[in-house]
Amino acid sequence: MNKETLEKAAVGFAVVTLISLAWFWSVQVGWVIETLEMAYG
Amino acid sequence: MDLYPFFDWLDTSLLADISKAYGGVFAVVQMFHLLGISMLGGMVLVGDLRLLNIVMKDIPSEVVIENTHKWFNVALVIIVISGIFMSSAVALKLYYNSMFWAKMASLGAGVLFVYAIRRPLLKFDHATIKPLTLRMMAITSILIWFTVAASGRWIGFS
Repeated sequence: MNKETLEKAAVGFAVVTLISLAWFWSVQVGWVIETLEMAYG
Repeated sequence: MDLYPFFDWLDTSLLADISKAYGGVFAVVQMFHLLGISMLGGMVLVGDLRLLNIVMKDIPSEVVIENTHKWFNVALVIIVISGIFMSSAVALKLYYNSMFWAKMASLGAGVLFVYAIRRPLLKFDHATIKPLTLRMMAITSILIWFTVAASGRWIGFS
């Protein structure tokens, strides 16, 4: 693959990954907060 | 594709017999797994922080990336081999653990990213690559491998 294609692929992959990881970790932290609320009110 | 038959087979394989019966062997393999993780994390951090122009600014980033990639490969092989052995001890438990699948998904994404995009792109002269692209790649790489390690640790608590 040429450099321009790879650069576009890198940016596209980065955007999709960053959005996915932000969603994933916000869900995990949400579960932890929910569990703590159930345990301690 | 249902992977249950594979995990069912792994749970009763010779590897599982050894990992379940000999705690000492499991502990040693786990030590290598953790050593591999720390090595991989170190290589990722050094390479990506160099791309972000935070560390080792006096050394060309091409040199840093070339050297860290070699040891990244070694660490990945250690992690995968020791990880398969360790997972054989609790294969069916892992099959039903959502964090295990999160770890596998992020590991797959990380491997795809490194070998299909990051490595081929960084073979070019870094000065010719857009700085924003380099920064985005470095941040993505750090976050993917952080997720692999953190979700792996989270398996024990879920």
